[in-house]
Amino acid sequence: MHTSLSRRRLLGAGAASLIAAPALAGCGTSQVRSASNVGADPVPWPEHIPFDGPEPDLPPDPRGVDAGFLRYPDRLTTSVPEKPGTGRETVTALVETYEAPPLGPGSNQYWAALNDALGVDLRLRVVPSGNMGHKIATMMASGDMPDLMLVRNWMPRVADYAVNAAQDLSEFLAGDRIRDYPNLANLPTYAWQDMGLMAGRIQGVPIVRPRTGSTVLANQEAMSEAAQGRYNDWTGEELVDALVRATGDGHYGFGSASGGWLFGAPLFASWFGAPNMYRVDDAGNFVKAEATEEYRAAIEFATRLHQDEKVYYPGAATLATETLKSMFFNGTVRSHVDNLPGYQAAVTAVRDEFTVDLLRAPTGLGRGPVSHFSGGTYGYTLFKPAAPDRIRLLLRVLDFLAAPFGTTEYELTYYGVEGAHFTRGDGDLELTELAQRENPSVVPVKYITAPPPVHFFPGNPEAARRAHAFQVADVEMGIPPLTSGLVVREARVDQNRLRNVFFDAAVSVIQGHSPISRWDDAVRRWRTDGGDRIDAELQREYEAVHGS
Amino acid sequence: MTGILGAKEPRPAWQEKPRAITRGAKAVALIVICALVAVPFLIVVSTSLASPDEVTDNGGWVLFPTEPTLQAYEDILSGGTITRALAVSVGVTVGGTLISLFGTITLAYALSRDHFSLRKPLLLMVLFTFLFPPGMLPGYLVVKNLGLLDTYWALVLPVAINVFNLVIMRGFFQGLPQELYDAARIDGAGELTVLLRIVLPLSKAVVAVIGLFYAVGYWNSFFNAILYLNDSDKWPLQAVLQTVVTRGANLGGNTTEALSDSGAVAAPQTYQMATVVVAVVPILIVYPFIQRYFTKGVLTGAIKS
Repeated sequence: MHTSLSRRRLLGAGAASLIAAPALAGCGTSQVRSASNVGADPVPWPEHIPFDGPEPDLPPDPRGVDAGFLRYPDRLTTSVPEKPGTGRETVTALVETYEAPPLGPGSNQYWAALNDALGVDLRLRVVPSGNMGHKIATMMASGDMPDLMLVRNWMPRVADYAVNAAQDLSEFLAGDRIRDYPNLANLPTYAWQDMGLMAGRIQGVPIVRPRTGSTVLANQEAMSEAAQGRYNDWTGEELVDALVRATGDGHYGFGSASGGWLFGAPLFASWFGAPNMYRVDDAGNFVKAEATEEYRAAIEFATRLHQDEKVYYPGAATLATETLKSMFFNGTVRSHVDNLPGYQAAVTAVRDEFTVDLLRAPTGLGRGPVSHFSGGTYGYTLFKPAAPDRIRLLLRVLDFLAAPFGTTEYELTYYGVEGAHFTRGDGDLELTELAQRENPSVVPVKYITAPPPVHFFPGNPEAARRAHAFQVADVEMGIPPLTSGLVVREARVDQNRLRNVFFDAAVSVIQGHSPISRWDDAVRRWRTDGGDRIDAELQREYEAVHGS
Repeated sequence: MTGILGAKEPRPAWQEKPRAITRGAKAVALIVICALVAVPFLIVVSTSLASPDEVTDNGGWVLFPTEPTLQAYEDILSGGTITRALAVSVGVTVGGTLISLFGTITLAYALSRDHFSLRKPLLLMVLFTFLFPPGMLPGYLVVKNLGLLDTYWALVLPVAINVFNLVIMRGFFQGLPQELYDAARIDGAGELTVLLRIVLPLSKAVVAVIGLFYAVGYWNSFFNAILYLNDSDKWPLQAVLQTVVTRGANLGGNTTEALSDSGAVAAPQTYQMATVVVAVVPILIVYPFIQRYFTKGVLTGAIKS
């Protein structure tokens, strides 16, 4: 008997499915609101009411300098007098992690203590960072939203989702209404603005991070010697000379991991005075950073360091972050491009082998240095729509998790239980071995919301001084990303696609595979392939938020 | 004359004696190919046995640890996460493989019988899923609407029957002599008896191989767990391994999108490599026991008389 399928029948079935597909896709279509702020009536930003806690040793600056503490405060303040919950409520939260999944509260003293202090059963849906996009996509498509959900700005159409599927928090947080949640009122205004308004409303709570963007971490002793008296007070040429002198005998002056670090070129662009993402020109038009002369000069600068001076640790195009960090920790690489969280990790890892420092930007390049601030958030947390009492409960939970340094709530959230996770002695904290497995990174509550960052390194006050001093100098030339807090719809999808145009061109030019004209071609291609449309959309949104 | 590779095969009369340089080149090529496979695995094992300081001093990996230690294994196995995930992986792999074999054998048998009236539409339906697999979102919605979220069934049922394996097994069953079926029927055997008493005993090779395919698939699967299991206590080992190995994967750059918190943690390469070894060794141990069925099982299923 003839057992195979006939080709005609199979093709027919395939064609039928292709025809049916759009119709099926249309089944779920419904009226959706746009998150754009164009034409919206914006609510006021939440008031900023600084927390009156322990006096920091190194003062903060709301523009982008974090408070510094040289030793742990002797007396802690209580910022949340009553437990947020009654002990009967359950709160689900979707959070991101860079760690192995935690043991549940039944086998986890930290998590159990946190649940007890919050008065709720906090159930975390932990998602590895690499799979966050997939998980969020399924949440969005299925309507299966937890009570609290971390989202990030790079996620396509996330603002539209927030407006259509998440709770509008304006009536709870806008203006002076945030006073009911004093720790949330202590969050810096730049963090709310980086999250942005959506359709003129407040749709989430930001997860605050330092405003400092990319920077260069350095082996202070090695780079000081190579700088010959010009350390951290150098021109571009003097920095190049120092990097060259730091290279040789198995050492490398500079390192950059693969991915978005891009040989350090985006950081170099800030040294040349390029705009942070965009600049508004004299005619009021948006100009993309990569299309400026300063950015082009930064690509040439990176090419020179790579091709002529040969100061890079080899393989920067494909170098794993962890390999580069190992090379920095063991002294092979003398400096590398990183960020402030990287500084904190390096200080802990290097111990007394050498001094980890943050390099200052050199002068004399292009328009002169600026500092490209990050938006100052990791992402933001959306709330599942619920009755007002339930929303207030969730906000009280976040208020607890946003308690600042120097409070009993912060101590529990960031250091755990005394005796189990840390011990106190001589004005400092000492973390126990258990704290390696039970902390807010492993039980990732710091991805629900977070207090303003501080510089505090138990037993290493000089590390706090160096980071604080860097920020004090950095803030004077800091510029936030012009796109911070802007809602983009189509643009976000295209931006992600077109970003590769610049990335490929930069990698090719810096490695010497293509002349600099390849970069010029990329700029032209950006414009013709949709970049102009993206710029126009951003400009409309910018004018709606900031005024023209 | 015998060497380490056994007795030499006789050389055909038309074939010239291989030159020394050719033999040398072949030997070098084989050594290089073997090294390409063996050295990375050796590095993984060696790094897992080294101390964290030695790994850092060597730039992230070690080929020959100076002072081998099992500290990394003690740490990861005492933490509770890995041991729990290992138990989940073993359970899902064993249970899932049995379910998959049951489904595949019964369906393949039904689709191999010419007198089964629904054979063609069923086969069409099965092949359709092969040609047009569902995407991530439809798959998630089906699992959700069946109430399988946060259950181990979500790791097994959506992938219970692999069409490729089904086609191989169906081909194998069709290749068995028709006379055997006829003889069994004359003796009064029903379909179930034919399957259990005649077909399966003759199909040990293909069942073993397909079973191994399924087992490896279940063992290596991590994405479904991350997608369908909200409770990370239920994650199998590979999902945990993925988070351990990819921690520190930093996009970099200075934009908000690129801001990563991975810098806030140290780089425990020894833990990563120890976890890789724990994840690889169990399934590696299974291979030698199945290997003898490999060629016979797959080729017999693929080449139908």
